[in-house]
Amino acid sequence: MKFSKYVLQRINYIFIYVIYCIALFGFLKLIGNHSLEIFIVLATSTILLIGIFLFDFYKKKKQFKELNQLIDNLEQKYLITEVMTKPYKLEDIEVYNIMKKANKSMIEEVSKVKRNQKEYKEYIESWVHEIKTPITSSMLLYENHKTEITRKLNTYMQEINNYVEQVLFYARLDNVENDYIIQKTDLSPIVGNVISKNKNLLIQNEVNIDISENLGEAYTDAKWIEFILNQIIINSIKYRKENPKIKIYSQKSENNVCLYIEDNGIGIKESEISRVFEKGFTGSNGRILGKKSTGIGLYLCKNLSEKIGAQIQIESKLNEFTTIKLILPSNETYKTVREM
Amino acid sequence: MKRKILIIEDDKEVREELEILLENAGYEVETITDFEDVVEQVFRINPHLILLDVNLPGKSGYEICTKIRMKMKTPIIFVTSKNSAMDELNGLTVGGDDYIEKPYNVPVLLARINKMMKRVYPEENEVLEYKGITLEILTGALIYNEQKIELTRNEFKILYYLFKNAGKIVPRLDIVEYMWNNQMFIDDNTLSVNITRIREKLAQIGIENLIETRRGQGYKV
Repeated sequence: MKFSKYVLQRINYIFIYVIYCIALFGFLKLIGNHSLEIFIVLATSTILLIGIFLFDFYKKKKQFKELNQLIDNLEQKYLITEVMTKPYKLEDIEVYNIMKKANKSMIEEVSKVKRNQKEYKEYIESWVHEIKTPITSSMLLYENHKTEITRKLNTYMQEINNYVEQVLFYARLDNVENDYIIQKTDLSPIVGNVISKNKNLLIQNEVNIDISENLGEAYTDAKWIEFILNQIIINSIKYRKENPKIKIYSQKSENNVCLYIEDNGIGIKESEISRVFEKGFTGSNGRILGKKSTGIGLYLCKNLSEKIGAQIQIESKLNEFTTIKLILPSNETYKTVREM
Repeated sequence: MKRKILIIEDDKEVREELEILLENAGYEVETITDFEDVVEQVFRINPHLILLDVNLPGKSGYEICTKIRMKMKTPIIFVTSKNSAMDELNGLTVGGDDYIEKPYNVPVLLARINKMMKRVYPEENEVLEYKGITLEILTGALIYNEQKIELTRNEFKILYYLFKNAGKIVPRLDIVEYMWNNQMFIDDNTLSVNITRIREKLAQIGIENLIETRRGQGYKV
């Protein structure tokens, strides 16, 4: 708040006062008063007026400063009327009451949206749960009746299953209650699972698989890391070139295990590489090749990794390779930090 | 001796296909179709291992597990489409031995069952015999006319699969897929190389023409 602006907004009052002063001066002069006497009268009332203005200004300034501080410290700013002290001035009370009404409807609206979102999420979870039964039936049907056609169907079923999983993990992304258990996890069987899960696609596309023995152990959640690895492997298959190859190996350091997933696929443009983890980013690969990119897979990978204390990095050269590096904690430090 | 697995699953399709799958994998399979008094039926059937769904009509899988545990130590594997960490913890705290998510990765399911069986009911060296040729599963060796040859892991698995399907034509793709199920990620070329090497090794001990090649179809023993 600036005093000059405060004065400027009261210019009409001041204008009327000035006219009144001139008129008063003329009148008093006319009835035979001395100029100095008139001047003293006018000066006194002017000083009084300035005083009133200054007093009012500083009071208002102080009041709003306190309110500003209050709202700055408030996380849910729409709750301001709930915490501020009730004003005592008539017009302030009016404004306060109007704000209170607005806030009340806002709070109702927010809790309605929250409730809807929660219900929707619960619906998604139960939907995923329901749809998994027919998917399971279909996959078992394939295992028991292997033909060229069921093999193809199973590939599609696997694709459907991946989309379903994406939905589930997307719904879990902003979950307050954490839905994972960090524990010592052997990485080799998880990588093996992911590969054999995608065996139809990998065999069909004659992908050469090279997995190092004993990838090591990390403190992580098996299910989450399996989901993340699955997205990465699916990308490697999707964006392959001729003679596709996927190499998986790890590097152990004092506090971490780095898991590398390297392919010899079409790679990513240098200008796009920094954006691949963005939600909805499909890039030129996703568009030109008609690969049905959704821009969700890697976004989920990045966010899920962060939640379980892992890091994901990407390195790529167009038309040559893409390497995803997953850095997973390999000692209990992370675990203890979380428990504190 | 065949091991008996009990499937407690309310979805008919899943139950029936799972039954076929496990029978094909060499187990004796019992199922429960009446979900009244599940626990009584379990005691009567007395299986070697139980596959238990969590969402069942009437009592939940967790409750059933708790009741079974009062009398039996039979390994129980929970099979469910609820896959949150809480569900998994629940399953393990009521006395379940393992927890598998739907849709199960079939090789993973079979591997877990196998592992559990081996842990709970340890067996001597299992063997597979065909035409006077013996495959020793534990050592990975092949015995014929008192001569013994060692096979590599890949070679052994390929031969094992052919022996299991003796008399049938086995498509190349089926063998490759079987190998992948066992986490040996070989391609079509490697399969050919392995078959050639197996034939050479067999020839050393006087077995000729055991593995027939059916052009465009696959292999047959």
